[in-house]
Amino acid sequence: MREQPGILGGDSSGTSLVELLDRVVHRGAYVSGDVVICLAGIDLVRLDLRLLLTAVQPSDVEVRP
Amino acid sequence: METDGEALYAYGITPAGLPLPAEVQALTDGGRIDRVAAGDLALLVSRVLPDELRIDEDDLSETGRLATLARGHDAVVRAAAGSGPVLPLRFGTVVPDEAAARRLLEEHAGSARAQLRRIGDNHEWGVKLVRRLDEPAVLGPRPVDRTGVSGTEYLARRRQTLHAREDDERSAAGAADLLQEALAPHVSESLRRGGSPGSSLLLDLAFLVPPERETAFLAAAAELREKLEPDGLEVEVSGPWPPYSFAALEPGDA
Repeated sequence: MREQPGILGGDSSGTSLVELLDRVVHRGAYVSGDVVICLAGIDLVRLDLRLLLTAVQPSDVEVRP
Repeated sequence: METDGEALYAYGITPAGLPLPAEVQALTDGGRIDRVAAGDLALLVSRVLPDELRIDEDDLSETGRLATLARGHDAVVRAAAGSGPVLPLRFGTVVPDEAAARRLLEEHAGSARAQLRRIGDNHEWGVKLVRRLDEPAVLGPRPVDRTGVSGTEYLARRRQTLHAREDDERSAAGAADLLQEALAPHVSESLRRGGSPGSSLLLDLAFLVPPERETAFLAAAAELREKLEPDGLEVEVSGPWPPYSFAALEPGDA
């Protein structure tokens, strides 16, 4: 984790995957309607459940290096 | 113009004048980041074949397809946020073609403009309040083994356990209040993402922080971390993030 102020460059390699997915899959503006053909063919409901399970497991509570 | 089955993966909405993020790859191989503009708004996109976005939901590992795509999505949004406000779209948003991309912008123009103004150059920071699991919630002897323990003593221990648990919950609630109060002066917006008093994740907050307040915000968070550590509570800070938790779009072009 960077935990430093500054610009948002680079990549997200310093952040845990669960934290990232929690943001990009669950958050971000959701657009519905006929303009959107699919949400990447991902079963988001199923993914939600899996992420929830992963997130509550103590081993996935983020550990600072 | 379009080849069979090709579609546009959409990353986020920016003001139309913003330069395209340089030196960042599309989330699928060989793709180039492009921009579809409608009026004063632009949608950041790259060409994809729907098959390229297929993932195995059972593979949530760092090397899995989902991780690669999600990190790719994040990299583009981050790169764009380096040069101006970006309204991130939810991972996996795909539109059939440029006409649909323009329609998406037109149908959400009013809301998108308002959101971009609100986001400005703020970054998102996450703060979690976590109860440390290695910390025994209750100090002192635990009434596990009742043999050789008198009834009175057993009840006394049991009461002690219950009191300790109540103390824990009180201190967690106090810590949550303390956290929000201490950070509020440094943020322009905050929201609660989750957490509950009964779980190890007591509180999960997201903040929109103006760049000139980031140093003060982080200093306040570090101070809280030290203050709460003796109570077996961890303050976990993550960021800076693009404003994922604050992004929302309503239809309407007002």
